[in-house]
Amino acid sequence: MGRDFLGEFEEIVLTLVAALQEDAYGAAIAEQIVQRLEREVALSAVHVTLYRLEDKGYVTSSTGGATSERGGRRKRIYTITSAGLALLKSMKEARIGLWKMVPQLKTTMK
Amino acid sequence: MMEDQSSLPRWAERLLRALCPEHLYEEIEGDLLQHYNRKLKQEGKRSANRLLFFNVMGYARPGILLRHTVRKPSFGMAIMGNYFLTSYRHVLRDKVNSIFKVAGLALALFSMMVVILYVSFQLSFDRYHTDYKRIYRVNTGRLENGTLEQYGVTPLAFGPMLASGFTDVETYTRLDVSNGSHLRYNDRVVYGGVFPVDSTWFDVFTYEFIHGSRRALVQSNSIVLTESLARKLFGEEDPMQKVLTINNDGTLYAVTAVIKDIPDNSHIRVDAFVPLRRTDNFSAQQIMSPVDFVESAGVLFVKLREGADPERFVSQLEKTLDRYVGRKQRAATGFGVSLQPLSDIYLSPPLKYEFTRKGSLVYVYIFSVLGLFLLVIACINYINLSLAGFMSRSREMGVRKVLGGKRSQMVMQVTLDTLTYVLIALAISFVMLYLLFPSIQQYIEPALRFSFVTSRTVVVMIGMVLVALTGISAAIPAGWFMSNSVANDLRGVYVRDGRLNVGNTLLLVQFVISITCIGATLTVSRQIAFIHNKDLGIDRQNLLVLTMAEDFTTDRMISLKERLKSIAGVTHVSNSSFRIGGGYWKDWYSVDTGKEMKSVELYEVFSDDALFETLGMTVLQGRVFNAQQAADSGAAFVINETAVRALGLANPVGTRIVTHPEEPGRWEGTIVGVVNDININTLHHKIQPLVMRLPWQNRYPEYFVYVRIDGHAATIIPEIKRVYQQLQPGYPLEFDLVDDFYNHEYEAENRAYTSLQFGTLVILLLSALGIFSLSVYLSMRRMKEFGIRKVLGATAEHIACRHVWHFMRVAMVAAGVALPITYMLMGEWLGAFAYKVDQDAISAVIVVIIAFALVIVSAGYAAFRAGAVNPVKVINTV
Repeated sequence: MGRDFLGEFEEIVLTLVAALQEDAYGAAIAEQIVQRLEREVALSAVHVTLYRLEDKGYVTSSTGGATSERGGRRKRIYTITSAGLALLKSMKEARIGLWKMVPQLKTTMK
Repeated sequence: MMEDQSSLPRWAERLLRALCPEHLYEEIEGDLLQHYNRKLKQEGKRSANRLLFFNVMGYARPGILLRHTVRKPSFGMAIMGNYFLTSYRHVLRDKVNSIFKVAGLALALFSMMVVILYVSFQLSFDRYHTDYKRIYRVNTGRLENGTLEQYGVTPLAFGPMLASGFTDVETYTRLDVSNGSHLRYNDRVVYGGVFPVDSTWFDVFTYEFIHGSRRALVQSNSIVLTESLARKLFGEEDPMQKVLTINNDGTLYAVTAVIKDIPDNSHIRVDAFVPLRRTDNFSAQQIMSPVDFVESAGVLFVKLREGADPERFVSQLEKTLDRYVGRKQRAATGFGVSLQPLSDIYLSPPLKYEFTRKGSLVYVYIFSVLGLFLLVIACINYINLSLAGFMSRSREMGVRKVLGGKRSQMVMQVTLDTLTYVLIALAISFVMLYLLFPSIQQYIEPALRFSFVTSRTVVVMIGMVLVALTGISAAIPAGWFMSNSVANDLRGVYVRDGRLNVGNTLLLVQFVISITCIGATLTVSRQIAFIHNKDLGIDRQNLLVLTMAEDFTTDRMISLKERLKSIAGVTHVSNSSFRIGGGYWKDWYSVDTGKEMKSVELYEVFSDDALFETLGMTVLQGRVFNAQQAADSGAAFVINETAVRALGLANPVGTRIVTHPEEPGRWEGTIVGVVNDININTLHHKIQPLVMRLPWQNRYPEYFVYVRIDGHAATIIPEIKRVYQQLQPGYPLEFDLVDDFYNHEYEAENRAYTSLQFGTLVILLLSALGIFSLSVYLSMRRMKEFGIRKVLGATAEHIACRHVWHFMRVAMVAAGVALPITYMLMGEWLGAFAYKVDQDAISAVIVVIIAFALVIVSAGYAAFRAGAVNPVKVINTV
């Protein structure tokens, strides 16, 4: 197998899992995407992505607390694994490396 | 503030449960609920519900659906393995039952496949042409003697009329009907059907070209051959641009294309095409005069444009005709045109002068009904057998139920069991079909090909049959097992109100079908025997008919007759104008009845005076004409009995007959004798009123020579051939044995009879198997009752009769239902014959006797065993 690779949406979800810490569950992640990135997202898309990340070993999950808002259903809290964190970091660095190649003058010449 | 909902709406919950795997459900539902509650507060119920719906539907994606664990199916697999194991053990335990089941199914499936092959072949005619849906034949209708007759031909002049102004017509093409021709290349002469057609023929119809192109007939004196005709003429040589002649008429034809042989499922049977050279101009006479109509007519096909309206085209054509003929005149002749779709031509009723090959819808129906019967019988038989078989498995069923087997699982088990039997039977029937295919071709349809089995229609039809067979055969036993109580299962009894009624209904249907088939077969066999043995009025044994070439002269005819007579074994020779099996001249003959001149249309036979002896006719009154008497020539008429009746004559001999009153004296004559009715057509037709007369001035060469032989045909025929070759070198002799010809004419009936016989046999066999197993099953169920009866003093015969009576009762009801059905069906079939057997009461009695014998034979074994039962052994069983 070659280098692991994440899609754009997978990267967003993985980053949010890392960011939300104890509060990283499906509905919360979907809400953050809507609020911060201002894009529409279906809950199912978030769930599928989470399961896929879990399959790949970038996140783990455990059942967490229930609230009345959820009708007493338990949450599933996702935690990023070290492999996930390492991948996120390496992706970020690669991105910055690419960004550095862009001639910075061009924007000022406009 | 709104209260938080504690659960999703019911529909959403159901939908989600259907989509989501169990282990993911709680989390997803919670998240959805949280989202839903927030939306309820922000945007209200409607909007929240709508959003919820789309959110839930979002889970119908592979990433979720594929997360269903495979644990459940694998458990199912284990159960299925167990089903097969128990079925297998059951097969081992009860081999007879299983063999009956497979054999019955295989026999039924085999017969069904033959039926499907035949029917789909018949329905596939002319559908291989690319645009067959847009191709129509132009038919015409004319009033003839007051009745509207439909013709498959159209005046050839109609073709060019369509060239301009008809926007619906893409292209048209015509075919001039002609007889077979002799093609000559160097020394080789080959007989084949050569037909003049328009060069657009290949634009309308689709043929596969081996050499040349669709433009092959554009150039004059070109000829297009089929592959097999080209091979007969040229062997392995390249046929292109070879020059040949047709019927020695002096014109040279160059081969410009070779097409693959025309497929068997084409109604157009042609060996070669040449360009159509006739340029008829249209005249009103071609519609008005019967003779001119036939003379000027050919087959006209049109290919309409995409989306064209056939009705509009017909009315436009009729309007155009009115410009030539005048509306009133056309109405007086009753002349009209109609379009017949190409794919309908083969199976539709025959029209006058129709070209060329016709099938029969009646046989398609007969075979379809036979196929349906077979399917029903096979199902019933299987149900009866599996009922008897599963009875011995009732304890297994009971245990499965006790251990929590679901109903759906029981249905699955029965269905799987049935499906396995059906598939094994299918495999066997395929092998049977493959091995027996040559016989099937011989008895049913020579043009059938085994490759047809893989055609889409056949595969779809067989698939449908399999689904129907499995479905029906599994549904009823499964229903019984499901509804039986566990306690009864474990005791090995099936008691439920109405169950036996279902059994009786099945039995009734089975008997009705069996009796219908027996009745049909009996009637068909009687009619076939009738056809073969009916007195035609002529002696058809040892009679040859020779067909002369077109350019055969009178002198040659005279010397041919002389030479033929000198051959040892030839007793009589006669030349005549009629062809056996049809092909007469017709004309109007008038007699003076005292009050008026009565005109009757008689069929004319021009013949020499040896005809009567040669064919073996009987002279009833007067004498036959004599070629030696000059006065007889053209003026001495011999008529048959039907003609006497048609003319309404009390004393026919000596009566003056007038034909063509517009030329007085020239064609008149006297009736000199009356002969018996001869039926020189097939028995599909009535005997026609016939007038026999000498050829005009004795000099008219008549094309058909009848030769009566006495002795070994195999030695006499080569002699006849040799004599003919001396007079007409280069032409092979065309001849038929009259007896063979008649047998050939009834081939369709004979084939149908053979197939019907076989079908009935299969149905009877299956019924017998079914009744046998059902009676065994019923007798076992009633064993205890029989035991008690015996203890109370019943005799063995008494019990056996009681058991058989149970079946006989149903058979009697079935006879009451089936006999009228058979009567109606067979009346329809017999309607195609002018001479037919009566459907009498004796036949009905015979049918009933056969049916009752079937019951006694198949139920008798179990009845006998039931009668011989030892009460001690049966009464104390649980």
